[in-house]
Amino acid sequence: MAGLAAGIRSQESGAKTTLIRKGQSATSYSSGAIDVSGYLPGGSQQLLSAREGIEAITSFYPLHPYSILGFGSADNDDIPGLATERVGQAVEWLMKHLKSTPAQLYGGIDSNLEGITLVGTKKPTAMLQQTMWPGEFAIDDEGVMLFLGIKGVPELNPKVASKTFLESQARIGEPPHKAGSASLDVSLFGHESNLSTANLARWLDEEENLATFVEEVKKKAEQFGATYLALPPILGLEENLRNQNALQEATSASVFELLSFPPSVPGFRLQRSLERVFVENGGHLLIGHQVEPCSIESSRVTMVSAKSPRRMVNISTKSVVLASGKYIGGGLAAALEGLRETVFGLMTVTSEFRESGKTRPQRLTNVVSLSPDSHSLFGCGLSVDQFLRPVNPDGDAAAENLFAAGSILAGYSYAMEKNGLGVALATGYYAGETAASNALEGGV
Amino acid sequence: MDFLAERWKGKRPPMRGEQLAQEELVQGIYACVANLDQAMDELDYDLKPWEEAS
Repeated sequence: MAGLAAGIRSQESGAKTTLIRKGQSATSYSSGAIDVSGYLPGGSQQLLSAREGIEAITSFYPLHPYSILGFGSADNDDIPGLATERVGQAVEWLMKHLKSTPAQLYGGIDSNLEGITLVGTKKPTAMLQQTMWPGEFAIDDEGVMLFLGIKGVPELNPKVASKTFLESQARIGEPPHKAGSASLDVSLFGHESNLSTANLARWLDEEENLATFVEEVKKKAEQFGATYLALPPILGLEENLRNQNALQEATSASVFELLSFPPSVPGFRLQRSLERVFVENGGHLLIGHQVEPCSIESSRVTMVSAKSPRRMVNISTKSVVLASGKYIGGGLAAALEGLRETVFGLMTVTSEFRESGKTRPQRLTNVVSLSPDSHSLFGCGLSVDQFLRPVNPDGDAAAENLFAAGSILAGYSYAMEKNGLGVALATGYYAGETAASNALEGGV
Repeated sequence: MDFLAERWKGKRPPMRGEQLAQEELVQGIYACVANLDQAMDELDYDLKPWEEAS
């Protein structure tokens, strides 16, 4: 997300932009929901809106990536105001670009939505893709939620999901008070085991398969009197909106996809839509190339080399945005001796902003695997200045034309705070804009 | 949750290299998407003896 947002924004700002990527980005592994701020660091109180979260974070955590976006010029004394404005701008920009794509979004930073997951839990998120929005189930006293699994799709166990969901709603005393579960047998490809959601999505993209599927879903919906119909993420890679409409018309229920684990169809949809926007804006996408370790000379990055199995590409650069991710993306690597940044060898820090180059990874973890305290290990990354340029141990920018965005930044744990794609989007948007202006005008 | 706690006990000490990417994915799945880090009370999860000592 950070790389694509930076690339699109940079291209829009007039700079000739090349985006280098080795494989699938972490966005395609994501649930496809755009979290901006769900919880405060270490907190367990769900935030009502991303706006509320950004204002609190920028007031209490001065080195959080959102706070850095609020620094602006030296005389800016309203960090929360500027940070919220910049994040809001990035969110609106993304919604505008994705409006006519399969990843069309619903929501915004003024109110957090509740997405329902494959295991029946709920999570706060700023934006959901249109086909993942369940509707206002929490104020519908007469609502009946049906979790509809598909035989052979291992991701969703409808019985467990429905039980977890119903228990959770009963505990907080909110509707719906009725939930059920059922399974469809589509016997796709002649067997009913190990069906992947991606294959089902591709199958539903073909119009001739839709009628049969709608008919089967309609029977189940009528049998349970469902007003909300939760499906695994299979509504299509391209035609998900058409398929959702067809199902809603046939069943008169609100039909939606559950937030899912990797491999995630909505995540893949989001990445493909962003790539399309980047290329339509004139960007050059170089997939299957791995960036080689690069050097910084005279405080500038002038050349980036990328290698594929068959060739080596050298690109002369005026500005570089590093959005190589954390451990999944390969931006950070860790040995027993400590952490290192893989492309430029930049200084890495822990989530408490102590140098982590000589810290054993285990020391950055807690004894409890999953908790709101998260692990410092997943808040490690690069420390940056107010222009998102990585800094040296002395606090100066490592290179005047090198910017960083996304999960390679230190100071936040996206898994706990529920702000992964939000930080990636906002920092990518701002880094792309700054990098372009640096390339065109020769300074930040 | 019990399974994750038991696995974590073994994975934590030798953590390095590719294992970190795998662990980031695990945290992404269970905490980020499923929101289970916030559901400890709902799931009636009792801390294990070695977790209580932390």
